[in-house]
Amino acid sequence: MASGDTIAKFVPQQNEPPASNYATYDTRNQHPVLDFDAATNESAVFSDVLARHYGGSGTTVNLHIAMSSAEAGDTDWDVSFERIGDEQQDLDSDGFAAVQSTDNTTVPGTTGLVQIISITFTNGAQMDNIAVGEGYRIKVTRDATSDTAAGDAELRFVEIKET
Amino acid sequence: MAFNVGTINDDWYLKVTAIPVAAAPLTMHLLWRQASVDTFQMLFSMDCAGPDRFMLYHRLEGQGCARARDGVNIGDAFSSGSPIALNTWHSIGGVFVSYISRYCFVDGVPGVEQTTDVTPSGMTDTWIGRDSTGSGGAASGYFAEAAVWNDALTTAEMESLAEGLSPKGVRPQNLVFCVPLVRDNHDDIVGGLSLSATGSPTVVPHPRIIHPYPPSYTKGTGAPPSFVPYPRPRGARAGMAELVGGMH
Repeated sequence: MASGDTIAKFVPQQNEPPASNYATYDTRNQHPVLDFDAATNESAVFSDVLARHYGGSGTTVNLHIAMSSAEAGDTDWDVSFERIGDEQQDLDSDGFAAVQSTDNTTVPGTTGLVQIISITFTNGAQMDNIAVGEGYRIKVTRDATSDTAAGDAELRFVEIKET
Repeated sequence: MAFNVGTINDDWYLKVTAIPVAAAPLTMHLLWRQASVDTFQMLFSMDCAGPDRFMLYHRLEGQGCARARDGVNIGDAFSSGSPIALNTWHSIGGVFVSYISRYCFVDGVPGVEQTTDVTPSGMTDTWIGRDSTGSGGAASGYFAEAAVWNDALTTAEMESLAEGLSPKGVRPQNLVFCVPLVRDNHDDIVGGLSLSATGSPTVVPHPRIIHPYPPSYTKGTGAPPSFVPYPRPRGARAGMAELVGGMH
């Protein structure tokens, strides 16, 4: 697998919402989206098996985000991985690695325009040491208590590519 | 986004002049977040101008109720377990197994079986947030994911709904009515019915929901493309033979 190739991609319908503070399902002109609140840190979770063609050079997570109403301010995003693996993670508890963040991304000047925000992960501990063929989860959180954009942020797609 | 029908005084509701299923066995379910503790709030009803109906309602005691009624008898199955709390989403369901058996589920927990002989007939309308008896029992709060199956779901399936699984993921072959109530869309995405809103209901954040979905797949070197099934199109009835989907 080559650098820049897509490892996985997720859409709002694939969200496995946490028990609390979850991004909420919505539509915008029939586009399914996940709404992340402006006042509370909310999360979306997706799961997959790490593709066997992942070459081990780290990943970049691309969040495709539009704003419900804001045309000014910025957003902050935290992403983390959890290795489920082969007898690595007890499903009865969470074991996400430390978040990697992209902060202070200025929102588009027009609501509805989708902005792609990238967060990079080195191979290894930042990806919770997930190996190819192992199950994993990825959690996307809007750090709303730190960012400045008003109103909901709408997640349209998530892409994980090999860095 | 879910649907806010306001307070009991607002008398806002959704209605369609049609019913998805006419007789037991059937199951009715929706997600509800009540805004005020008021007695006898009608949540979801298939009824007519007369007494006959299948319906879900809320009692002041904090219980849910699954009611079957005909011209002679009323069969009210009450929920058990924890009361329905304010300002929290709850799963409310009625499983009408037969003319002599029905249960009310709240948050996946069944109440006691109710066995009065009741055979409703002649229903014509489907309501969310009210029933045909008038505004006196209009509901308050938020609604989402209203659904009807033409069979009696099991306790395990009601638990799945209470866990947040979309009705589309629970026995889809018997799902005959599904109104997710996302944003301002009140269409039945399975049976093709279109509910009309009365009053000024608004949209509010949707409850926690888990959608059934095909696996995410990215083609590696030499790997074949995968087939991704699309949701059943509007107007299609459960059990119809069809092949829908696309290459991914």
